[in-house]
Order: sequence, then C-alpha cells, then structure tokens
Amino acid sequence: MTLMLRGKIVLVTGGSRGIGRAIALKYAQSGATVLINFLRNRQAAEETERLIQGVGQQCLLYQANLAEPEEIGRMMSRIAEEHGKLDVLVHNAALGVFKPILKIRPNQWDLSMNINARALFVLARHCPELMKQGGSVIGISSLGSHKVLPNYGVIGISKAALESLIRYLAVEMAPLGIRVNGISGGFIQTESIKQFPDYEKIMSVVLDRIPAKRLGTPEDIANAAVFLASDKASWIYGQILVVDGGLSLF
Amino acid sequence: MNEWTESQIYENVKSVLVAALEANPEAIQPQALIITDLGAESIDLLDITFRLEKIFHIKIPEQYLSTESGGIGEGKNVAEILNVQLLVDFVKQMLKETGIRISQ
Repeated sequence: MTLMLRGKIVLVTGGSRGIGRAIALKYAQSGATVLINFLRNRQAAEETERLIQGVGQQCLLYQANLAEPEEIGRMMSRIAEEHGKLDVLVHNAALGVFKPILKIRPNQWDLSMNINARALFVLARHCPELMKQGGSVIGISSLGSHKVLPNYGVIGISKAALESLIRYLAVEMAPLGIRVNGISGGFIQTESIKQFPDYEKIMSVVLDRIPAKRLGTPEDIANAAVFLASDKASWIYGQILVVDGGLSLF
Repeated sequence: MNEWTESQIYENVKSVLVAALEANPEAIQPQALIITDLGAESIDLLDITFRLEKIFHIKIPEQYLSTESGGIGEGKNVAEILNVQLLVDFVKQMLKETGIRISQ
C-alpha cells in the first residue's frame, strides 16, 4: 500500500480531526499531496498539516463552510488555480446533534443535511472540470444510514441521502472516468462518538456484538479510503464498502 | 452596508435567534441567556455564527460562540453568561473593528 497514491492530489473535507485526519495522513503516507478542508478549528487543521509534513508530503489548508455552495465554489476555484487538477475527493465532513428526530429543530436538520449530504452534490459539480484525467470520489457514511440507532436520526438520514447520492453520481460520472464510492463505518473510536448519550453503556453492548471484538479505529476507515482511491479499486463503482468489524452482519 | 444603527443590529440578531432556535420573538430579551433560557445547543451556536457572519459580513473568531473552552467568557460557564445583549455587543465590536460606523 505504501505509495499507491504517488503524485496524486487529494482533498479531504473535514480533514482536521478524527477520521478525516487519519485518511489525510494515510493518503500522505501513500504518496499523495493532501489538501485539507476544515470548518473552524484551524489549530487542529495545522496539527494535521504538521503530521503530514512529518511524513515528507505537502499539505495545504482550505477553510470553507461546506453548508454554503459559494464557499465550496471558492475553495474548488482555488484548488484549480493552485494545483490545476484533483485526483481524489473524500467527503468526510459531517455535523449533527445526537437527539431523537422529533426533538430536532429545522435549522439543525438543515445544517446536518447541507454539510453531510448536499455538500457532496455541490463538490461533485466541480469535479468534471478538476478531474479531466479521471478520478475517485469517496463519501464517508455510517451504519446509521440504514439501521436505526437511538439519537442518531438526523445524521443517519443525512448519511442515507449521501449513500443514495453516491449511487447516482457513480452512474452519471462513470463516463467521465470518475469513480464514486462510499465507506460505511461502524463504531469508530473518535472524540465525536463520545458525545453519544450513554456512550459507555452503548459501547459495551456494541462491543459484545462485533465479531472482530474491538471498536474500529480511524485508521480502519483510512485503509479502506486508500484502497478505494487507488487503481486497485478500478472496477468498483457506486458501492458502499462496509468497514465495521462485522457488526452489521447481525 | 457601511453603517448600521443600534436598532438594526439588535433586530437582526433577534431575527437570527428566532430563526435558528424557533424562539418566540417575545422571549428574545437583552438579558435572556441564549443557552439556558433559549435552548441553544452546540450545533445552534455554529448555526448562529454562520448566520451572523452572513448578515453582517463579519468573521467571528473560531470557537467564540462555542460551548468549548476558549470561546466567550473563557474560564466561565458559557451557559451562565451568554445573553442576547452580550451577543449584540459582540457584533457591534466586530463591526467597529471592520470599520463599519454604528449610529443611534
């Protein structure tokens, strides 16, 4: 896997922390130049930048609120000016609130849907221009897209939309030489998941049901992201690769 | 806009809070606590930030409106101090820093 992405230009949205950082770092270790999009936490983004530079790769930071199509447009224009192309786009950025659906307010719904799902649609509109030589687009989803998890509704619904979007984009972008796929992550150890109500209790129950007998790590998702971005996945179109230690088998 | 009046600023902040929090306009009083009284959650503070930035063309420093440490009232409980007036005053300060004139 070492240099599977040598010379590639990759953009990771929400790449400053957690799973996004792990993907960014793994891409750098695989030989790519990494562009990191982040929302507000510049300190975390700069830490990711340092980690990437530490493995000898170039990293550039792009602050943009993906809920705003204009900001996405400005970011993609900047990427076109500065790099001339994009080989891989990973839409990992996600936002939400852990509450029952009936307690979600419309603004919370809108923000989750806009960042988690609509942003990929807006980003994809810029890809034909940036990926004239072909490319790979990957959306990061989760098991909550098709399983009902307590308090996960607004994120789960947005991930369902994301997965459906991935399938449509895969068909429509295939003639352009652009592959579109997704990764559905199970329970991954990140800071975000600790915000889950009753986190400790839920995790102990979940752990018992994972055949792999461990929670996932951001690196588990990152390894799948490297594979899907690489030529090794050249005949994979519109699929959601489940990376969950086997949890969804039950 | 090159100039805002005090009441325009207050009314726009009020509109943002009503829209984001589905709050009753009458509940938006200067001393109303945005988290404790109006029910704002972490994601709402982000939403409010985005809305204020768009309306007033300002850039609110990261984590200023946040329940995390490092934001408003550093070292204090944000839920106990962040009220409507404080937010209005902050917007005024940001506008002044960008050279916008504020009139009565």
